[in-house]
Parts: sequence; C-alpha cells; structure tokens
Amino acid sequence: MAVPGYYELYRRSTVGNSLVDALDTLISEGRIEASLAMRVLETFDKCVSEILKDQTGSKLTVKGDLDTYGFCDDVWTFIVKNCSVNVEGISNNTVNGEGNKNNDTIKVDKLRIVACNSRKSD
Amino acid sequence: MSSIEDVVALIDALYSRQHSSQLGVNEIQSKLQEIQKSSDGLPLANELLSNPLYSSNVRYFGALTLTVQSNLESAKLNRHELLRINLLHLTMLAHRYVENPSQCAGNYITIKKLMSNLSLLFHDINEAETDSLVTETAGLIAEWWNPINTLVQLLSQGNQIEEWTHIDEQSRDGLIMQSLNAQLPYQDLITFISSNPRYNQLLLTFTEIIVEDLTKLQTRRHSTPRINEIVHKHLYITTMSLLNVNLTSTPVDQIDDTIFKTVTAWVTYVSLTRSGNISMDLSELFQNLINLMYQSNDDTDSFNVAERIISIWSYIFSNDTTLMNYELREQIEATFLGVTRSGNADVSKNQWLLQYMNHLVTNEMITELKELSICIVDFLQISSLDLCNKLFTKTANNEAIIQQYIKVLLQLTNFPLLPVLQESFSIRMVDFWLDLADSYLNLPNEALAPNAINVAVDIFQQVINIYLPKISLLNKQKIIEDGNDETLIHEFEDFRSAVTDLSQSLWSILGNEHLTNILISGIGSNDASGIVTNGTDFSSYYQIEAMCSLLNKLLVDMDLSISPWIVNILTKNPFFIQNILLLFKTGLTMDQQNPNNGPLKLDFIRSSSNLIGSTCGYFNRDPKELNSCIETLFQGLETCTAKNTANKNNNVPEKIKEIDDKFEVIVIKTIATVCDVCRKQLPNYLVHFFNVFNNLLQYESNVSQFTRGKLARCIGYIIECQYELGPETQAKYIVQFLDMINGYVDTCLSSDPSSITSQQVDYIHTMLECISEFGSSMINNNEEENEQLLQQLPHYQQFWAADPSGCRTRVMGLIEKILTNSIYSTNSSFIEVACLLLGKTLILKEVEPHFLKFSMADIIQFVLKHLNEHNYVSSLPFFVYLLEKLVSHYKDNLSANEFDYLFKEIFLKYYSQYIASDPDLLQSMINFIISVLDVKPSLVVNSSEWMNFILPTFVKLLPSNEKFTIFAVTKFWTKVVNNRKYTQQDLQLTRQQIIMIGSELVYQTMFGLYNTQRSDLNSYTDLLRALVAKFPIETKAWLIETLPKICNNPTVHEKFINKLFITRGSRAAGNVILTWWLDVTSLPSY
Repeated sequence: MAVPGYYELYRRSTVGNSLVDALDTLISEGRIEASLAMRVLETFDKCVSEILKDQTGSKLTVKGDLDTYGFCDDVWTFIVKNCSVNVEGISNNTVNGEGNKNNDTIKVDKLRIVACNSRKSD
Repeated sequence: MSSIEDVVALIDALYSRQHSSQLGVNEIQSKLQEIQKSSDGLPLANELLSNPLYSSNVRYFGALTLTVQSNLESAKLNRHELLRINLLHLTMLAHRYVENPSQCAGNYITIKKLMSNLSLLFHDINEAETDSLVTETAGLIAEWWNPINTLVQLLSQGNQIEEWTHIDEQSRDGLIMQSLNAQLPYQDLITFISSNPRYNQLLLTFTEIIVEDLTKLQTRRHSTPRINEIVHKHLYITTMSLLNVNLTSTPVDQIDDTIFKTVTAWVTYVSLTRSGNISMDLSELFQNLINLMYQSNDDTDSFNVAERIISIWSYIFSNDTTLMNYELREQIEATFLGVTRSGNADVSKNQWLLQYMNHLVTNEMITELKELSICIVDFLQISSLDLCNKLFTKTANNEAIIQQYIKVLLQLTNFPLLPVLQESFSIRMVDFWLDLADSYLNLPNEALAPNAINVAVDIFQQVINIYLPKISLLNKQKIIEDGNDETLIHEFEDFRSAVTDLSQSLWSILGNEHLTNILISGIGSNDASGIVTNGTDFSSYYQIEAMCSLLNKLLVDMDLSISPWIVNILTKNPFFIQNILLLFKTGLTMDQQNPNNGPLKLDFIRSSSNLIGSTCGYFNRDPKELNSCIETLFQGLETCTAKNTANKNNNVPEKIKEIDDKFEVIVIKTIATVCDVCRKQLPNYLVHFFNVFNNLLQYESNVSQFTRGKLARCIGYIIECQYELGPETQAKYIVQFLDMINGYVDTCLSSDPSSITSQQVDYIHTMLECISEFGSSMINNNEEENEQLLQQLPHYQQFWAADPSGCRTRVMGLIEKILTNSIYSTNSSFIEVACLLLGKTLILKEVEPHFLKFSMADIIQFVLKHLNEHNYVSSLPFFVYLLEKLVSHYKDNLSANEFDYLFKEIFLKYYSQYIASDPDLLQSMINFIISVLDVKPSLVVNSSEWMNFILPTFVKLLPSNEKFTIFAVTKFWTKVVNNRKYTQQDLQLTRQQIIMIGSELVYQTMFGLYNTQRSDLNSYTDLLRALVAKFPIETKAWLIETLPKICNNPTVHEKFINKLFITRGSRAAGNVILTWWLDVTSLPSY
C-alpha cells in the first residue's frame, strides 16, 4: 500500500537503518524486488509517524544554551549546547523519573533538534 | 495440475477449516500462487468466475487471480483483456446480486474485489505513458473516463446480461467497449439508482473503492497526475450527483452506512489531491450533510446519523480545515457554540447540539462524547488566532459578542462532569487555551488594545480557577473507586501534567502577581492543621495538593536564594511551609492497605516533596522553618525503613512494595536537594546526619542502595561548605566517614565466605558507591564560593598533597581489601566502582585540592596490578575509562616511552588472546588511541608501537563486519589524517607514514565500503573526505590504482573519482559515495 504524505526522516533512526540494511540483504539475495522494499519503507514511514503520535506518552524536556537555530522549508533546526535532557514517562515505573534513580537527566554536550510540521503538506 | 477440478478442489481445501487434502496449507498456497502467476492465470480466473456452480470462495479466488495478473509485469500487454474479463464478471455478478440479493449475498465480496481490480486498471490506463498512434494501431485503450458510467451502461442491459454467456466473444467484447466511455446524462443516472436500491448501493461502493485505491496509489500529496484530472472531469461529477441525491432524498432513519463510508473516502481523496489546477469543491455535499445532521435526533435514529457526520467533521477539522468554506464553518460554529465571532449565522441550531450532548450524557456514551469534544476543540483551534486578534488587538469590535464567545468557551472548559471518567471537553480545551495564550504572547505590543492585558488576565485566571478543581485528586479517587482502570488513571495523570504545562505558559501572561502569589496564598494563608480527616476522607487536602502541583511547576526553575520577592510573599502567607509539610505528613499517615489510597498517598508525598525541593532556596533567606522541614523529611525516611522492614517480613503485594520504593526515592531525593541548596544552613545538623547515616549503613537496615548513596552525598555537601574551618577539620569528618564505611565493610567481609549472599555483595558495592557519591559532593562547582576559597587554596593544596590524615590510603586500602577478596574479585562491577573512585578528580584542574586526588603512579600501579588478577574481558572497558581520563589529566607528565609501556602491558599482551576476537574490546582499544590523539598526539605517533602494531593492525580492521569496529576505526584514521592537535613534527611524521601506506589504506577503505551495509556508509565518508582534502593528488592515484581491484566497473569508478574531487561539504560527499555504492552493488536508492 503506497502511503503518501509521511516524512522519511525516521529511516535514519537506528531501527530504520536496520530495516534498510535488512531490505538490502533481501534484495541482494534475490528474495524480494526493490519495489517491495520501497513499499515496506513507505509503510514504515507511516507506522513510525502514527505510533509516535498516538502511542507515546513520554515527554522530553531540554534545557541548555541555544547555539544555533534556523527555519527552512518548514523545518526548524536547533543546536543546543551543554544541555540536560529530561525524559518523563518512559514507562509506568519511571513516571516523573522516580523509577530512574541514577539518571534523572541525561547530560549532552551538543544536541541537534530537527522539528518538522506534524501535519505534512508538501 | 491436470484439470480445473483439481484447482477448485485445492481452493476449497485452502478455505475450508478442516483440511482434507493431503497437502499442507503452505504447499497448497504455493501451488495456487504458481498457477495464478502463470500464463494460465487469466483463462483460469475466467473459468472460476463464469461457472455459477462453483462456491463463492472459488469465485473470490478467481477475482484474486485477476488481481495477481494485474500486478504482473506482463499486465501492460494484457490490460485490454483484463479490463474485459473484470467488467464482464462484475456486471454478471452484480446483476445476479441485484436480482436476488439474499441468495447472492456471498458474491458481494467477489464483487468488491472485481471493483478493486477495475480501480487499479482505471489508474493504470489513465496514467500509462502511451503513444496515441501506437495505442490506436494496437487497439489499446488510451483513456477510461468513468467506471461508474460504464457499469451503469452495462447493468442497464438488464436481463440480457444472462444471455452473455451464450453470445460470441466478439459481440460481447464490442458491447463492453461501447460502454467504456459512453456518456450518461444526470437524469438517466437518477432513474437508474431509483429503479433498485441495490444499484444505488453498488454504485456507492464502487466509487468508494475507486477513490480509496487512488488514495493509496498517490505517491505525493497534492501532486497532479493525469488520473486526478480525469476523476475531476468525470467521476467526481457522477459521484457528487449520487451522494447529493442520497443525502437529500433519503429519510434520515433509512440512510445506509455505505453513504458515509463513500463520503469519508471522497473527503480523504479530495484532501490529498487538492492543488492549484484541480479543486473538487465539496460545499454542496457538506451543506447536505449539515442539513441531514439537524434531522438526526433521539426519535428518528437515536442520533446515529449525527455520530457518523460528526466523525466526518472530526476528520476535516483535524486534517484539512480549508476543505470547508468559511460560510459552512460559520454554520458549524453557530451549531457548536451558539454564538459566532461575526455575529451572523443562525445560532438557534445550537439547541440541536445541546440535545445531542444531552443524549450522550444521559446514555453515558463516553466515547461518543469524547469524539464530539475532539471535533469541537479541533474546530476551535482553527480560529484561535482570529479569536486572539478579536479579543486583544486594536482591531477588535463587537466586544459583546466576543465576550459571549469566551463565556461559552469557559463553560465548555468547565463541563459539569468528571474529567476522563465522564467528559473530555476540559481535557481537550487545554490545547485550545495553550494556543490562545501562545497567540496572545506573539502579538506585538503596538497591536495590543489598551485593555488587552486586563482582558487576558481576567480570562486566563478564570481558566486556572476552572482547572484547579478539575485536576483535584478527588477526581482521581473517583476513577480509582470506579474500577481502578490503569488506562484511565494514566489519562488523568496526563491531563494533570498538561494543565501544569498550561499553567507554566500562562505564567508569562499572569506573572507572579496573578498566578504564583495567588497559588502561594491559596496554600499558605490559612492554617490547614485544623482540617480533620477521619482516616479515609482526605478531600479537604486535595485542593492544597492541586495548588502545590501547579506551583511546583512555576517555581522549579526559579532561584529563590536571591529573590526578595519570595521572602515578602511568604511573610504574608505564614502557613505556607507548614501546610506543605502537613500535606506530606498526611500522605505518610494514609493507610496503604486500602488499595484506593496507594496512588493518592504517592501523589500527596510527591507534590509536597517536589514543592519543598523547589522552594528550599527560601531557607537561605529565612532558615527558621528549615528545622521542621528536615525533621519531617527524616520522619518520612524513617517511615520508609519501617515499611520496608514490614514488607520484608510480611507477604506484601508487589504493587504496595513498588509504591513504597517510589516513596523512598522521592523523600531521599528531596533531602539531597535541600542539603545541596541549603548546605550553608546545615552545619549544626552534621552530627544528626552522621547518626542517621550510621543507622542506615547497617547491613540489617532496610533501605535501598540509592538512599545510602544520596545520604552520603548529603553529608559531603555539609562538610564541603565548611571550608573556612580549614582542611584539617574537613579531614577529620572525612576520616570519620571513611572509618564508618571501613568498619561495616570489615564486619561484612569477616562473615563466612561459603555463606555469602548476593545481598552482601550488593552491600559491599554500595559501600564503595557511598564513597564515590561522597567524593562527588566534595567538588564544588560554585565559582563565587571558589573565590572565597582562593585565599585558603595554598594551604588546602599542601594539605591534600601530603594527606597527613591518610584519607587516600584509607580509600585505597579499602579498595584493595575488597578486590583481593576472592568472592569480590570476580565481579567486574567492583572494578567499575574502583575506577570511578580513582578517576573522580581527574576532571579537576591541577590546582584544585580534593581528598581523592590520586597520583599518576598510584593509578597506573592499580591498573597494572588488577588487570592481571581480574576478568580481562569484562574489566577492560572500565580500565580504559580510567586510562583515558589519566592521559587527559597527566598528558604533560607522560612520555612516549611511558605510553609505549602502558600500551604494551594493557593491550598488546592480551591482543591475540582476547581483543582481536571481541568487537567491544577492539572498540575500547581503538577509542583509547583516539582519545590520546585528541589530547596529545605526539605520545602515540612517536611510540614504537605506532608503526609496528597500531597502523598495520588498524588498517586491516577497516573492512570489518562489525558496526562498532567500523565506526571506531574510521574515526581513528580520520583523526590520523586530519588532526589539529599535531605539532609540526607530528604532522610531518604522519604525512610521511600515510604516503607510505596510502595505497593499502585506500584499498582497505574502499574494500570495506564496497562490502559494508548502507547504514555504515557514513563512517567511511569522513575518512575519504579527510584523505581527499589532505592528500588530493596521492588519493586520486591511489583510487585509480585500487578501485579496479575491488570490482570491474570503470565508468562508475571514473565518475566517482571525478565527482569526489570537486565536491565540497559532508552531505555532498556522502551522496557521491552513496551513488558509487549503489552503482556497484546494484541496490535501489530509497
């Protein structure tokens, strides 16, 4: 099923990269056609986007020095330096970071945030 | 396969639940798939669909075979045949269905499949790039305008259709071709669907299936393939006629669900395909839907039609609002709110909505009510900017109407039922108010109306006042009592969290004056100790808890130590701290055995503790209530230990244990925050802290490792801030701390080795962790205080360099005592914590004194000694961590020879035995070399192992199969080729070395690149870029020499080399490399 209107950026995530590698292997071994791999990735784009929208309850708070920001083609890019990233609600045990005793906050030297419009309309 | 009967038998066997066939399902499937794909597929499908004696499963399989044939490469050539067969069988089956719906109901699924096949053909025929001359000569079909018209033309043949099986193929084919692009006047269409409701149903289903399939086949949103133009000119007109006739002429209680499915499919399709050239207006359709919605009521259809129409509005408002024009939206606004921003539209229709809501509430239709709330709030969010302008800017007019509008919105927010459990309006409205607040904050000052601030404050204060009771735990209690549904509880918590976020945004408008001060006053203006609870009813505290929860969000980022405002406002609210502590104590006393109380108890403790943590900076200005605060928190900790003991002795449910664990973490974290922030106020408490710590350190004490570590940290904070007493006094306390730990370790180690439990191992580990936490807390990052310390700095430096009290000896002795014990020496987590301790101060500057500042010799001696004695594989990463810090800290004291010695002893000796076969260890070793290249490259490039081992070995690792190795080794080579830390001599030396091995380096890099996975390509990009930038001429020659050895594709190689050398930027280089990789591997570009 072709799925129009979804970002392809999640293909560069770890799970997306692994899927692409697996599809490459299947094509190289002649087990699937390239067109099927494309369909799989289009479905992946759709599923990741919808699952992230509907089924994630976690919230990320970022605090740090805003080094660079830009807005181009409906995409915001922020580079935040010396930042603390707080993840809330990863699971029931870690609501408000209580279950996560030692790592309330993740310290990051440099964080790049790419924010796209969730209602894509290209 | 010998005959059609065999195929039919196989199909029946496939679909029957009890397989009588000797073949398994997979075998049957693969046999049938083989036939479907073969050249026999078309005649087989034709036969299966023609014979009325076959079962409906067999007929469906026939339609499915046509789908398979349509998707084959050869389908282009058979398109005409496929179209003919599909249309023929669709017409015949549809005719039989209309004539005898009950008997032929089983055919409906086959009819839908044939319709789907035709929609694919409709797409392919109109999208095919064909030469009109070729098409004409070959008799191919160039265009197919309107499948609905075609079907109507064919079905209009009536009973003659049954004769089709008897007439010759050519005449039948001619009949079908004639009907293909025949025009159908509007009146004929209406007459046709009026003749039999089944015709109407079939046509609606067909148009629904066509646009659903076209939606799936769109490759890009708003693109304009030819098919959309054809749909616009033909199918759209027919479908709108069909839909509008259905919506206007069918009584509301007889309306079929098919029509709403068709409308939904069309709305989705039109939304997706809208562009400048193609605009399929749906206004008439929407107007008819609105009219139909008003006809739906309790008596006619129990609002069933209304529900379906509301879900269509929901889709439009959440996805593509502009599908609906302004006039129609105004009608919806009047219906939803009973008032419009323009003051036009007929607001009496709001009565219909109130009746609908009443129906939903009376019948407890919570899901439908939630749907409606989502629809209304999505609708409101469309115009939040316009509303904001009308409310707050100088262009505002019709003030009375807008005030009325806001009143309605506030009433909607204050929907008179329980949030989550019974209503969702208040929950959804959070987003709306957030949008409105954002819009207001983005208005430029010069655009604001003179009274805008007052209007904003008035509205948003009302919003806060509405939400405070909505987020009260009273509602959570009711959810728990209603059935303790975890999902609903989480939903309520999400709602609370959204409201606290909203309050944070509203603070920018309301400020301290209208928000923070009001909340503080709400909590602390009256003495809450008079509130009586009977042990089960805590409702009087719920409002205080809700305010604490919001206030915490506002104060969490404020530094109250330097704020005079907090002193003033708390002076005016003398019961503030006392009431928070009372909330905490009430939480402590709640009976947890009552299953409904557990979560509420945790909320009480969480809200009060968090607020204590956020406000404790105030105690630096006015410490008089610090004492009661500390006492209450320790009382909480004591309750935790008592509860843990009780839990251990009794068979307590896991859920209660989990709550108690969280409770302990919250309390100890708050104590640590208070000690950190108010350390200067706490020296008098040191003895008390030592006593508590001493109690909690005991093996029998039932507290978590986390709590012990945090308490060690608390003691460290208090000792650290007493720097004016001199290092001797601090050393006295540190020795007391270390001796206490040492004593407990000795007691534990002296127990019988044969009966050591995992708890004892964890306990010993905790002891070392406590020292680590204590050491961390003795590092003060406060620059201002360091200036005061500066005066005493020389004394501190001398003191800790000599360490007369033997603190370091004590720590090292303790580590050795544990690591040399046979029970603990096998556990690498002890190496981890020991490395953490020894490396603790390696991040500090040379001049900064600290009791854990071990010398380079001490650390090296420790590493070399224990490397041999412990499990090398599991311990190496921790030693590498320590060594990286050591090299970074003592880089100026280390020589290349010393580095050589370390490298040989720590890595080379074990390379062939352990490292070479373990990607994790390889990564650790490479990363260590990279870290040295980062801080002082001359140490490694002048090492004797550089040319003997490092370069020759690492070049062979480039074509590795392991992601981690590839990542590390390409980073290493990139750093070798391009390193800003090189001295002039380093640079010259490494350039010569690279030129010597360049050909091999490039070969291994390109060989690795050729064989790697797509996700690892980027690792090689940086290395190739560095080579091209630093050795352009040489790299070109190396590439020309090596690429033919990897694969024979000279054109691709030449193009790659030419492009690579004129490309600038990482992304462009990445694309060039990706293109080469795709060309040589023949993989597709996704």
